[in-house]
Amino acid sequence: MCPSDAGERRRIALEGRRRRAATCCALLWLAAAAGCGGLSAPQFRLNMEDIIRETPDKDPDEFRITGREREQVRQGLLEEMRREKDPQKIEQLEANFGAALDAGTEEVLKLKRDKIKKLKILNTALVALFGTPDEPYVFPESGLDIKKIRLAAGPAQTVNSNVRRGLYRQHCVHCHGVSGDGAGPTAMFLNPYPRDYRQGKFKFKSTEFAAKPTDADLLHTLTEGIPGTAMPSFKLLPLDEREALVEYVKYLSMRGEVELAMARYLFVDEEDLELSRSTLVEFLSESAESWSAAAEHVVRPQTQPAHVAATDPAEKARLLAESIERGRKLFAGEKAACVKCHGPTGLGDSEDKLYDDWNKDKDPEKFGAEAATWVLPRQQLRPRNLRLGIYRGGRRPLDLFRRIYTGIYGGPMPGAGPSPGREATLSEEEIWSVVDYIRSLPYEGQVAVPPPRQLTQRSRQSGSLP
Amino acid sequence: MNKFWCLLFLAVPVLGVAAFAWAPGAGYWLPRDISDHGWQIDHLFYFVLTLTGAVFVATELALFWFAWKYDGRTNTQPVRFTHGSHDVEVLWTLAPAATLVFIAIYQMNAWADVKMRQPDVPVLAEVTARQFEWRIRYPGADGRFDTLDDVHVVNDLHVPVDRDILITLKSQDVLHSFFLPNLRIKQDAVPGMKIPVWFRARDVGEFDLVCAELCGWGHYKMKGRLTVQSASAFEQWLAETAAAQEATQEPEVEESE
Repeated sequence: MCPSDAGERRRIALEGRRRRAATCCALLWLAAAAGCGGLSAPQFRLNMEDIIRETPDKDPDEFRITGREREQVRQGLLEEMRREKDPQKIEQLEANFGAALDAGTEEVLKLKRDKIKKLKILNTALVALFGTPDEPYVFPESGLDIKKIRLAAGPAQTVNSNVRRGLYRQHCVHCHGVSGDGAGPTAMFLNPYPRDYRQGKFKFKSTEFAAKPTDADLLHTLTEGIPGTAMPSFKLLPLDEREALVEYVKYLSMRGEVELAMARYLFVDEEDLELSRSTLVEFLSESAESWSAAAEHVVRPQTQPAHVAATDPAEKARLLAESIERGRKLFAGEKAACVKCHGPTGLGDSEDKLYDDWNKDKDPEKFGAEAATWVLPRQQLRPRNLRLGIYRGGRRPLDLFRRIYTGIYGGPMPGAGPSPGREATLSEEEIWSVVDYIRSLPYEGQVAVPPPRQLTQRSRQSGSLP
Repeated sequence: MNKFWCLLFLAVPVLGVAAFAWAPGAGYWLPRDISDHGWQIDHLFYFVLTLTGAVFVATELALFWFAWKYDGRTNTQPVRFTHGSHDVEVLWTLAPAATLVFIAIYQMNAWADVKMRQPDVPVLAEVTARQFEWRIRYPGADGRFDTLDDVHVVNDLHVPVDRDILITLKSQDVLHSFFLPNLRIKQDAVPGMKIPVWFRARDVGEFDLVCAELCGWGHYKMKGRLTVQSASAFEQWLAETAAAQEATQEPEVEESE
């Protein structure tokens, strides 16, 4: 290039630099966009798996958008060609393959479009009623406190250095999941699995069999944890944070119940859902009313064990011993039939084919290939080993009384108290005796373990090995 | 070597010392010591910190000085190789060895106080670590464990002030570490072992109990509270907790926290 082109060269160089700068800007912008995309807000997941498990005779694909329609039609056409013996016909099929595939897919999708529409309606209804994980919303009819829910929802962050938000995502989500489906990333490693809130069933509560837990019950579980499971105690969280989490659990549970009811209505009953406020509230109130009525169903024993009232220690001990003996007979007897599952020694080893409500429909034989897609495969339930002194629902005699009186909702443990349509199998006095017996089981023989220092001294004196 | 790099290396000891000079005033220092034996631990800490700090600063300054003085661009002398000095080898082997032996002997009393001289008192509580909480058990009114009146609490360890406290430490699943920063107590909890831990607290108040061994994904939430209180307050708390545990009726007034 001749020297007179110097100006031209500078111009080209400048342009090159400009172009490079523009490229850099574009790349930065792309990176930023990708970064934002990676942080997109989490969404509630539609719960179709419960509907699929409830209707094992239906094709699971009926309840979801698979995106596999075209492939299924293609496989069907190929199968048809394979079966065909006439070479002329095969040639004809081959020639028409593309058109047949398009037509077949369109036909399948036409049938499917109705389902897709229903799924969209379901999603719209749920967003209208409950909002999204980042922007929760509740109808006043739900009876929920949106202030508390907002404290628990959204991304974990600290505001004004002392108000913490996003508590659910900080403490609970890795087990219980964004949707409260009990299928967070750590859930599959746990036994028992974390609670799936969406059926509105809770095992450890003070209320009658099918009644909802009270706020105090949920707060108790959160504060004390559930010994014997992976649920830890959150005692050191401030009370307002724990209350916010309780409200959020109720919110997720109510949302799950409404979702299930709507999905049953849409897909099992094959009805059309009208997206009007009154229809939505109709679905909502059923769940909301059961939650607000929880406090009316708290089980309160009318009687006290005789030994509690006794003041004289000798009399107290005699009455307790009597009660334990009576409880032992009941435990082994026909009427209470505790041994059927908990075993004659209380080790919980008599029955090994038990499942709770979250697992009983998950029969891998019934579902075949579908079963392989489950994040949480079927998990067996073990009757409690009563000799460990570990009581999931609380160790107070009152807690044990309630376990026996109402049974464990969602599990195979039946209640001994009266329930609608069923007489009580045990009287209150008898239940107290079973409670006394169960409480005595871990300490049968009352073996005392001396502190380590005494043990060493004694073993040295007696000349035995330390 | 470029002077810029020399000065950058010099910044390491300067900033290192500055950080240590600044930290205590800014609140980044040892937590308040409320134990009887803690001064021994702190003393050892300061002793080792001073020793290693001095060696660190001296080494860094020497590094800087060599890099500055023997800059390749200004130094015209050819490099001289040496096969080393026997005397210097002996010196820098014996000096650290003697220092380490000295520390090993010097700390023996502190170690014995914390790990060997178990006080002759009954076990106050049994602490069982599990993923991810502290399950605590007191022997109850009869003073014996494994009886019906054992008092069970979680994440809430109460102890009386000014008394020798003996605790049995267990683990239900994996390795945990029972860490009371204010009492200078840190002891691993090992599955299958019952490990005695003892201390004596001088001040009343609420302090942290944390897990100091990465024990799983929930390690960060394995936090408990240590409440040191007067003997009478402790007895009252224990009696109330024991009574609440025997409840056959819902308490009249819901407990407020």
